[in-house]
Amino acid sequence: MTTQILHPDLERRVAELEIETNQGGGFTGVDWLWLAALGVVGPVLILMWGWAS
Amino acid sequence: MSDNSGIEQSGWPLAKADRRWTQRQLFVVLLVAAAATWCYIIGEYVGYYLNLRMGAAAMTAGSMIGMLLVTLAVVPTATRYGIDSVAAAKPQFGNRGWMITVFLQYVSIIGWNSLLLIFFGKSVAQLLGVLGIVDAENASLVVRVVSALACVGVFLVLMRGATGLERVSTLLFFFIVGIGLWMLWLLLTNQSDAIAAAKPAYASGSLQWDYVTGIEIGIVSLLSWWPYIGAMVREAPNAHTATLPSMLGMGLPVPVLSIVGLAAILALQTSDPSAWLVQLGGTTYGVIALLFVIAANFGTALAGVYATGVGLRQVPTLANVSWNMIVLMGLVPVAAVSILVPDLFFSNFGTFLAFIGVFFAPLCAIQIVDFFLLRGQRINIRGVYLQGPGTPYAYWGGFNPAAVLGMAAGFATYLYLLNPVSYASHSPYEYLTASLPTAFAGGLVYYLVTILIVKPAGRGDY
Repeated sequence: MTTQILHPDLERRVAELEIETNQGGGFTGVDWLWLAALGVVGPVLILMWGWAS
Repeated sequence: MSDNSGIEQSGWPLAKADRRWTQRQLFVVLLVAAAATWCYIIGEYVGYYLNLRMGAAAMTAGSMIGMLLVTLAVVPTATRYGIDSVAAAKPQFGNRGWMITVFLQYVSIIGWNSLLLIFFGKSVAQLLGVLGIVDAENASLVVRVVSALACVGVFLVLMRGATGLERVSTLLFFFIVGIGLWMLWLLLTNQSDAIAAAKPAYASGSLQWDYVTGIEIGIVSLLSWWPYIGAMVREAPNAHTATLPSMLGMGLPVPVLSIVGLAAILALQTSDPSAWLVQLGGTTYGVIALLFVIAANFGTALAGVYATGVGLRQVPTLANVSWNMIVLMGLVPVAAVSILVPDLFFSNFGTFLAFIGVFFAPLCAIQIVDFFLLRGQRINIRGVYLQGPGTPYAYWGGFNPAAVLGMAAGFATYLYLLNPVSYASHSPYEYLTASLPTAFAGGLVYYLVTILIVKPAGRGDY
């Protein structure tokens, strides 16, 4: 691994974000439900509605 | 909101303490970014092939599918580490290959902003013509001058960075939503018979082909949000805060406002509200339409140039250039297109849309496959900022062959399925669209090359 010196402020930020508790959380179960509803199920239903016209 | 403009403009990751946008704030910013008059042009294109009901369904479904791809590709990484779309692509493309994504971001945002500002200029010229202030001979000059003035306005606001963006977005939010819904109501109540009787001008004769083309236009339009979204969702503390603002705030306004353009082109043969509102309600309505165009396009142009600035900051040689100079780099090409070739650019909108699908569909798929299937939803944040050989994302010469081959596979798939210039298609386009198979091909090739070559070679920090 190459040793590089980052700008002090960037180094502070990177070091902070390397600790998992300082990272933002990922999608929750509810988020996945919303994503499925709005990005998959909803579009399928809308397409069925539109095609039936 | 505190002023974090220094760090926001640096392109460095936002630490936990910096990311304080609430769901409501993010929703407003994303909605204002999405709600622009390109929606009318998108609706106009769909109106060439489909009636109101089928067009609205195809656009809405396509838009939400496109927004899902962009959300899955960018939001998890951007909100976990506080980084923008371009930085989030470094683990996949390598610490030199990510320049591909900077180029794509730069070109697409310049394209969209040029479109917006030319539309803005055309609307002003249209209204001044109706009012008898400008004659047809000088309309072209008005388009150019107004576009240039809009660029100056964007520059002045963005001198304040994301703080300026968020404050202006809040002001524009209610105006854009209110007037947009009013225009939709006006069209549907006053022109319902004309809309019902209208025949799409370029219907192919195959309803299925036309329907899929409407879906395709919706998907590629929303894939355009890839370059924009990262710079904004990284201000949120986690993916949960960004999920609904992304899907509903950024995904839904485009099809809703596109229905205005779709209905207008079917009933009145023009999608420009400053033209058809004058037909319906005289110059008072025309002035309202113009104010809407100004508000909607200004907010989106702001978001676009801001995102470009954050993306350009990732380029090492631009790391120490002043923020104002970075903003100018995003604005000068827009001004050049708007002033020099406004009509040429405006009339090739369909080709520009296809360009978006060609590149951003596989790009999204590559990021989704990498983050969720190959990396266990983690990246090496230090590796994103390390340059040169021996660093986590050095791959081979700074390029990840899996990403390059994935993009190439997607490119070839799209070109086979749909010609971006002529819109001539090959099966199974009429069943699957062009963007979805393109994304699948890009993601699959990326996955296979990574599993078979990159990981066994110990490259890419897997």
